Amino acid sequence: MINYGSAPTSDEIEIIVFGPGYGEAIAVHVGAGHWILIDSCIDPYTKFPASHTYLQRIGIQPNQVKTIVASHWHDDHIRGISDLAGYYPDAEFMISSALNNREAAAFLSAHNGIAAPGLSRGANELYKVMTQRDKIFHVMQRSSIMEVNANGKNVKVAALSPVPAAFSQSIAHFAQYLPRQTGGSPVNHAPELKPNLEAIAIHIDFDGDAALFGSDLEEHESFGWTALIIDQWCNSKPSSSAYKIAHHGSHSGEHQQIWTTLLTENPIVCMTPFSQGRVKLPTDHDKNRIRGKTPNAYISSGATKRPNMDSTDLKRLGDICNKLTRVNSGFGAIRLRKTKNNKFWTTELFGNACSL
Amino acid sequence: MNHLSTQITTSNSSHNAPSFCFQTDIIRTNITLRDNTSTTAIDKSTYEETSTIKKKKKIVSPPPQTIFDHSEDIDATVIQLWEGRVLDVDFQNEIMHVLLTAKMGSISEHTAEIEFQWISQQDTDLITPGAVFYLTLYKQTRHGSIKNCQELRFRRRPAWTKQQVQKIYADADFILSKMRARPIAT
Repeated sequence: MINYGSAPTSDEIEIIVFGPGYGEAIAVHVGAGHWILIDSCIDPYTKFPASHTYLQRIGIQPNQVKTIVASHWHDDHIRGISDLAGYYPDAEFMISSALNNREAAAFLSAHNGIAAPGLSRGANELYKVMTQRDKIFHVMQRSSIMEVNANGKNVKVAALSPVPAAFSQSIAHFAQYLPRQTGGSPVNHAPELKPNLEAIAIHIDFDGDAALFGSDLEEHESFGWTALIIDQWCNSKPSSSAYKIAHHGSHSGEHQQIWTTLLTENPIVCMTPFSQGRVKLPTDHDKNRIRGKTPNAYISSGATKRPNMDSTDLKRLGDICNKLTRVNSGFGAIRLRKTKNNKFWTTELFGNACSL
Repeated sequence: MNHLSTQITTSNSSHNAPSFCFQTDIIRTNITLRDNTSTTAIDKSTYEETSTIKKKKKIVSPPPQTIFDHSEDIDATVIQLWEGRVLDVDFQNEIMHVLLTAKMGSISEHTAEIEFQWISQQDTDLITPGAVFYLTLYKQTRHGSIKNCQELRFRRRPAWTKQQVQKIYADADFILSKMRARPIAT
């Protein structure tokens, strides 16, 4: 059990990034008791969504959560998000505009777990929310996510991605995994879309400071980070002093001009690891690259990835399986807080979180 | 997974049956689940029929003549059952990258690489990202000697039915009707 202490004061802005090793969730206090939740992962101690556990512990009332954003539908960003939507019924629920088409909706419906249980947790979670809610909002580059006056400050939350030109890629991907009208095709699990150009990258202008949340947005010469950086509206936003690094620190989520155009010098960066299959992020090379950009880099979980099972199981499984790696190797959170009179963020690390 | 110890004894005593009277086979099958959860014994009734003698007659069965007596002592104990999902496949090196979820006990999820050599020939067409398989690790005791065994089998998915496909598209239209665009930021 992690002791998170007390809630931020009304004039204190806060960003907290949770990560269990495979998963990511973010909660942001924009001021005056207004909260935004971005994505969801499960707290391994409570088995509830990490953001919900946190808000309960520090005494936040459900009506203080104004917005929930599912930045994209991948399993590691969405576990428990349907529960979050239920805990905070007054909050507006937002998804990527890349899902606002018949192919994507049919994909979510087909992979909702009813026809074939366990096919896609991510699709299942989003489908649940969509059937439970009366309204779902979709956002793309330049969409306003929230605008609020917090203690005299005009806080603006906006989406920097996805760009409409990237939608065709995701429509083609979803269509590929749809059952044919004639029937007869097998029920298969849908792999995740690569590269991820549908994710919602978010910019929060706190009116005097700013933060950037990169989601899992990847680089693409036309549609990914380049599309943000060359867009005049995006690059005219105030530079961010805090950055949730994109795509778990992977080189595919990297663009040199993120650091020079969208961020201040030596920003505080937070990230969550990703460990599944042959993909282990960040790699040592990624860590070195990020350390070269800023001395203020933190990761939510730096714990060992060694297998966690009894010796008999391990020996037997080891006969058949190579490179056996624990998926959720440790849970931690990075919390940044700042008052309007303070120039610097205060950083606190919880659980397995550590400096990169 | 049930590992069965099966003993089948069949006796055919018709050659000893009195004339005009025949007795069907006596079949007794003992199936014992090795986790000792249940024992099932199936007895087929002994029938007596007479064609010329109307009166039913009690038959004393002759000693059963065993034509098949397979009483081999095989025992199997499951150590762990894993449900696996193929994350991606390296066909060149014949390796699949998998996510393993334990079906017994509370063990955290693990990822691993499994070489194609462990996959049955019948299942090789199913090796694709997203495919689901079951990996059973068990100990087999045969004639008193213990051997580690494993079985990796893929799950064959059913095909979508026309009704399901129709429902999916109806659902999709319902979901789309709830979508609202957020305003453009100032």
